[in-house]
Amino acid sequence: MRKLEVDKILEKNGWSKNKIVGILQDIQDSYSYLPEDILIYISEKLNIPLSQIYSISTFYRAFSLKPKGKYRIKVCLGTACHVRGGYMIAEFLKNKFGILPGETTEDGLFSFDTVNCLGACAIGPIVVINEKYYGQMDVRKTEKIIKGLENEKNKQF
Amino acid sequence: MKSVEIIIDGIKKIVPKRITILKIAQDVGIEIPTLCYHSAIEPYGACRLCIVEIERNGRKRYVTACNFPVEDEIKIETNNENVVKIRKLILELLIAKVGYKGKVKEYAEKYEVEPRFGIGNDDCILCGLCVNVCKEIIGVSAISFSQRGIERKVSSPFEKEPTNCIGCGACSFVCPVDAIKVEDIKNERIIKKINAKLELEKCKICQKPFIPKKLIEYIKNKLGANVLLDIFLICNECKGKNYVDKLLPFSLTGGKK
Repeated sequence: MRKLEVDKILEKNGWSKNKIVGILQDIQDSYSYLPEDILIYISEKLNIPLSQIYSISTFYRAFSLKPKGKYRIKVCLGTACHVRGGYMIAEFLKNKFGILPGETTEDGLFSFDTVNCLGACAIGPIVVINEKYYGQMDVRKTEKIIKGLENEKNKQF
Repeated sequence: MKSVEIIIDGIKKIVPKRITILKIAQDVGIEIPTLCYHSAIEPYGACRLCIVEIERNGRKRYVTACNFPVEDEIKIETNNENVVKIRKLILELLIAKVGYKGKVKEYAEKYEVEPRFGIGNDDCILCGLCVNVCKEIIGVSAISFSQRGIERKVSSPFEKEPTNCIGCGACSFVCPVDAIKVEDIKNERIIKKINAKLELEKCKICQKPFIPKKLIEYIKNKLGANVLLDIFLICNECKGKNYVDKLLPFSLTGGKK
């Protein structure tokens, strides 16, 4: 049951109202998004108005109210990455998947976001897939990695 | 309480520390325009219209009067050329967002503002009064700001019907641009802006639906059990006709008619 998992996260954060952002981060990590029923549950358990939780959930780009894909791709469009061609990678992904930043492909495999700086400008342009950082990227390298991930999926079935 | 001497528009005044500039101005009788300020609600400083110039040690700075607590000796100018210039810009930007609506229209006329950046058609200026009245005064927090940047707006959680809204209409009452409309249609109260829909209770006398059932429940809980007087179940029109005529003289004469 989900509630037990959520209780664990709440326990870890000391059932504290003040740690709501940390709690939401943990939920986001566990479920790859913030499910509505869980937010309602947290609101009741911690006695925080649901409106306030909704406000926080929609404010930070790190949170998503829609499920993210199995592979979560982030393309950095910070200044350094942008001038080295990060935007071309973003354009490529947009066309390849037919989705806009923040959306997920229909098969639930890929989701794609742009971010403004990952603090690793020296190795830009950067692409992050799940928690793995790929430096000095270009369109061709990105294409190769994505092909690899698609093949991996085919192997599993 | 410690006090401090300030000068506001040339008037010397000793005021208690940490009082806001807006309160001082109101005491002295100086008018400062506000959109997001309400005396019953904690100042929020969102609309920026109450901007004034302060001078400390020869340095000038522009601050919002509603939430600036006076700490030391400062000189305040509430209406000089620079302040008016900034206010006009703020009004121009507000017009670019919502056009000539409510209090924005009033101030635009007063400050003779032309629509420099076009005339917008949004309904809301994001002043936060509705959100804050619901939270601080009503204690319900049914609505909040959501999203951010140019997408920021007032909404109910998940843009769905807010389960805790009691339909009191305070949000609509405080709105300076009339963005939140409360409509009573048959036996339902509809507040479209926040997706609220509430069942209404009928007036005990004329049988016209007029108060949300949830609001009665809320009042009941606030006042404690069994203190709900019939007065809450009588609509304003019937109160006017019946309550004042019959019941008020009754209470004034100490129970004898």
